[in-house]
Amino acid sequence: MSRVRVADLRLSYGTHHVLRGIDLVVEEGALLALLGPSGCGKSTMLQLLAGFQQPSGGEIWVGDQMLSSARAMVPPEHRGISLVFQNYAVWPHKTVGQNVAFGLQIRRLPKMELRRRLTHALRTVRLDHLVDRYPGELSGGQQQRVALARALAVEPRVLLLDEPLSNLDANLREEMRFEIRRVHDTSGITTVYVTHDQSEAMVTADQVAVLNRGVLQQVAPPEQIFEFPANDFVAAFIGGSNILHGVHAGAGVVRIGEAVLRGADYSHASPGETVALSIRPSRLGVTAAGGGPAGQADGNLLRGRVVRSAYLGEQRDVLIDIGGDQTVRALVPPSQRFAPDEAVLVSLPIADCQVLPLSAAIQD
Amino acid sequence: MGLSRRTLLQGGTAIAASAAIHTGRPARAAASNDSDALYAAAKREGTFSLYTGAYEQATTELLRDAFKAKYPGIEVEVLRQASQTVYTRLRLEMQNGDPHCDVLSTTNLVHYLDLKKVNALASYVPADNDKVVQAFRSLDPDNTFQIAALSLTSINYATRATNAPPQSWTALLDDKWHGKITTGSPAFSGDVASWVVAIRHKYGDDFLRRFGQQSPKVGTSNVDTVTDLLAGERAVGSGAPFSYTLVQKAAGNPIDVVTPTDDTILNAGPAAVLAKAPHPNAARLYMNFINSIEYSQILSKNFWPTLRTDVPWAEGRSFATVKWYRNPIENLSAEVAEGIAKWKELVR
Amino acid sequence: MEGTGPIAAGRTVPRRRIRLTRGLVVALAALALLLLVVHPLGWIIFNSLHDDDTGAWSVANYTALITNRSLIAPMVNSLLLGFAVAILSVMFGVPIAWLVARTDMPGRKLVGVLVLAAFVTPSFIGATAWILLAAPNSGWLNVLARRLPGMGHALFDIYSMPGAIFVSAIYTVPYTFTIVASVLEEIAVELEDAATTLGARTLRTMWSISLPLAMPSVIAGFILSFVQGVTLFGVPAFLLVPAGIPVVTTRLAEFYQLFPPGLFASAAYCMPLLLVTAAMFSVRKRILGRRQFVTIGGKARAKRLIKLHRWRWPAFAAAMIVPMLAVVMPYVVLLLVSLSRSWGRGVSLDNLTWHWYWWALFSSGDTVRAMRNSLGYSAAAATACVILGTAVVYIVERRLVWGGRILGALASAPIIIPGVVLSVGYFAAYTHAPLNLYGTPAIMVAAFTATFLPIAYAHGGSILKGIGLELEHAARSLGAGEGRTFLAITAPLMQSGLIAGWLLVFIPIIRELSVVIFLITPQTNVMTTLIYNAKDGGAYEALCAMSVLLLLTTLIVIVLVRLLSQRLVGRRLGGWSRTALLEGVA
Repeated sequence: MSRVRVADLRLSYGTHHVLRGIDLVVEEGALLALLGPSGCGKSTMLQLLAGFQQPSGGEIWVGDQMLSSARAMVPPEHRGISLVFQNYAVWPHKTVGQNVAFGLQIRRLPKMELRRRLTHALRTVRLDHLVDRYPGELSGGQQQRVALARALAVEPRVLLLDEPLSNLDANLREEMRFEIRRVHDTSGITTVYVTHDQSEAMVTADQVAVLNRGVLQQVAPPEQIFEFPANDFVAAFIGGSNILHGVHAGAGVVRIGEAVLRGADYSHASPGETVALSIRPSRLGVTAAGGGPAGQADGNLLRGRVVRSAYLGEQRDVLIDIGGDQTVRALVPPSQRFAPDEAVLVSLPIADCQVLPLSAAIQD
Repeated sequence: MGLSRRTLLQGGTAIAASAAIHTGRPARAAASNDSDALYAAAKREGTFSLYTGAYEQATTELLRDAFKAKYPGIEVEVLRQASQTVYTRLRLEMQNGDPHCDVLSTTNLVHYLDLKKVNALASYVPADNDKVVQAFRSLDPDNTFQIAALSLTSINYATRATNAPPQSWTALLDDKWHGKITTGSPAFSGDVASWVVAIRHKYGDDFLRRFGQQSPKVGTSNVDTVTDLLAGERAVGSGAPFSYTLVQKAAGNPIDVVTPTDDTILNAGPAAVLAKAPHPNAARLYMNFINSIEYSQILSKNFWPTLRTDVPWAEGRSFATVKWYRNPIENLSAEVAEGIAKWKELVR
Repeated sequence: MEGTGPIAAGRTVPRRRIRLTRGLVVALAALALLLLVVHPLGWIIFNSLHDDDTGAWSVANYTALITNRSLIAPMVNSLLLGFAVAILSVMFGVPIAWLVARTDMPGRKLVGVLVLAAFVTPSFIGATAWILLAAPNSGWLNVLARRLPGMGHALFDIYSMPGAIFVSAIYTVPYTFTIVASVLEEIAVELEDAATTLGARTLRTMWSISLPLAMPSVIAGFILSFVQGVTLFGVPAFLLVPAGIPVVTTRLAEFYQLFPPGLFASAAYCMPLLLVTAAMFSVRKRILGRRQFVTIGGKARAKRLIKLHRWRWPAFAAAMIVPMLAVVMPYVVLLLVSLSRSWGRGVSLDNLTWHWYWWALFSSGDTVRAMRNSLGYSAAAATACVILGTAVVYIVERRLVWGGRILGALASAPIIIPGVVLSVGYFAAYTHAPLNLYGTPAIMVAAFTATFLPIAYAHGGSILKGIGLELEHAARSLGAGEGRTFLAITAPLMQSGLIAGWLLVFIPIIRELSVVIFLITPQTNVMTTLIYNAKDGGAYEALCAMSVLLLLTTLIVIVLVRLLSQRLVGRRLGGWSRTALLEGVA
């Protein structure tokens, strides 16, 4: 009844395309995280879902009802979809209780029922002791919880959260992440959670949808996204993998400049096409070059020069120029020291390499 | 004249009736001169509107209050501004087809000639016309307007500034009065306009040219001369209000008048009932009141020439003792327009 | 877990029903703007193309503008007046603004209050006071000066172009001051600190950092002051007419002195004025288009003030020059003269009397009626301005309808129309059938509303921009329709700002003269026109008493409204409201 289905959703302003045909399903009761860099269109998705904008093409369905299309649209107040905003949008001229009760009053619930739901919502976010305070007297985190309670009190079909934790400081963010997941589990509402922070997405979501420049890159559970990214963009965005561009030279073989590297092939590419080789920084091995045969090790090897090296405490972050305008980033044990411009050998264990397709070129 | 009162009455009635037909209004009991009936009819109207620039505020209010005292039950709405201003307002009202004014009383005869031309005035012979000073008894042969104010324009001066004021208009052109003269403007004040016409008759444009060279302070109404003299801003006023100055003098202010040896200019200020007056009976009642003893007595107390032969002026003055000159009516409109133009060119 | 109530159905509401309220609001706003702005302006343009004598289509009125010498001189004089006023206004307004907003000059609050008092004073009343002070022979300053040895001639002659420039300028300084001060207050302290830590001294910081950041507002102040100088009517009427120096506004008034009034010629004569002000405002818009680089802090923080050290008191003295000239001296003179039986006799104990106040309040029905009219019309017009302005702002900002920006443009248009010109337009449009409002309060309130609608619109815009769209969206997503959202969320949040906005237009309305000068009748006289007309009659004492009463009344209203505003807003909005109050009621 509250399964969200987005079919070929498009939004353009003249020649500027914000969303280019999104197909997405959020199962009933699931929490989907919509992840992507700024400007990728994720907030616009929420605006469309909430009904504050009309799509240029495609459809939005909730349950068996079509809510939006290019021709018709159900207005926001009739969609049963609640929103929680980045800057809370808690009304300063109403108390906490009045804020949360607003939606209930509109539905003209009998007093008893209203009171019950209000108390329940406040208790869910653990703000029942602040019911008569004004938002101006609350901290950021408390205000965000008020916003959450307000959204939940009306028992919506779908809950939308637009970067709800971005305005909170780091500690609070971590705590609130779990809070939101807990609340979701308790209420079981279908939820779409927009964020640019991947760890937030990983912690809270059942499914993660990665969006870039209006195009959906991959939709999968967090583990799958992390372990098996669909293309170079997802690999780089999630977990910050190194991406090396090269030419496909047979299954699992990539030619990068003069070097030939191997890895697990997920590219579905033909020989000659440009593909990406992905490997996590923590998996790279770096040794000083010179001495020792540069022959076949049991992995991929690249030569390079150290650009810079930064001590992080638990690790050392080394940036290496491997030529051809490409660099790799390695996280090595702190005992290894490198000087800038030092010649090094970079080993890329085959088991940790993946050959990925490029994310589709986007025509503007 | 030789017309008996009855003939006048009959003539007046006939003219009023024909005027009424002309304007499409039924000839009411207004044509009747019977005071009681008129008062009753006026009382039913309850109020009337007077647009006046003839007298200054104080005298105007005294006249208004005296009318209300004599005819209780009738409100008087007075709009008192410079003659030209009230006239302009009236014409605009007429143009918009929205008559509000019942009686017009200004110091510019030209206004009435123009209004008469467009049939805007009602004809009426007021009561007690035989008591009015003969020279002004019949300003208009068709009785569309009557005398309501005799405005004397002379020289005034601040007694603290000088004890040897100019004794004539030509004396104003003396070097010693350079920068010391204040005057109203003919574009605003009917009295000053008539003064300009008279001066041009007497001395031509040369006077105005030399007058302009005296750098006078030019205001709007001729009352401004009194203000400036009392303020100490200027020493001598030209085209000044004779009567109003005397009022101020009587109040103890250091100001006085000079009746010029080359004539005080007399301006006959008419009053008329508008043809489309919303309150015609009250209007006519007021016209009667203009000719009444009470009216002239108030004028006398305020140093104005009276309208009635049986009410003397204050301080023993009279037409006999004051040397006066009045502009001929022929061609007056054109001369006023020309005078204002010349003034703008030579004085301002 | 379905929600109960109307949301459960979730049906698509027919487009028509949603659009009905929206359409109604838009239609009403559009109608109001049509009647208030388009109609009068249209008549002016129409009339200007007709001949006064024949009534036929003609461009003769326009050619006369170039050929008739008596029409050219006033235009030149007006431009001179405008530029001089603008330069002076900036020269004095900017330093005072900086001193009050950014430094630790003593008496900052006093200066601010006095500048507000200057803002509240009608400039022609200031002109009256300055006549009493500086008329060449009788002005008190000249009288005093003459006691000095060697002073034969008059020291000051207020009846001159310099005199008019002076008086216009001191009452225009508040405009520049207000605009620049409010911008300077918002400059992030850090920007100036950066300069100071690099070794720049106070004056240098002001020159190279603060001023350039505030430059758009300085230019805005310049342009607004220029427009003021060119469109003022009262001051030139009092000071330049006796000197025989015509400006466009007084020349326009002259058209109406004669009959037949040169209605059509005067309409054409309005055009150069209109074009000049329009040009000035488009220049301003182009410059202000880059407004972004003045950074707004957001939350109210304690400001760091620049220390003046030994310049503190000299700065105070310098800052007090304009308040002295615009407020202290004139008010003292007005007060003294109003309490004199006959001011020509000078100040002395036996000359003191309450007579004129008694006359104004109890004996002269005219004054009491004019006072009632002033308060009533101004309040009505201010309310209309705020309501209409808010409606249009909402329509434009929330994009309720395509082409809503046209409504916004119409609401802002009157700012470029000089008051006298608008008076001409209203006269032409509303003094004959089918909509004859001559002599009614309606035409007065309408003229006032049209004149100051731009201010209400701009102010409403800045308030609405401060209310995030999310606050409304939150309500919408919870089930509130557009109308309900506006009433429950937007309007209450705008409340304190709207009250400030009401006051912001009430003050200029109650001291406005030129826009109603042709529209009044004795019944609908307001205080400003009564005082202006009273000058014809002569009694300065009565004039001064009426002026003082007008000023007192205005100040009382301001105090009352501020008290009301503070009580209404109170604690509820907590920290958020303090900023809003600061910005709103400033």
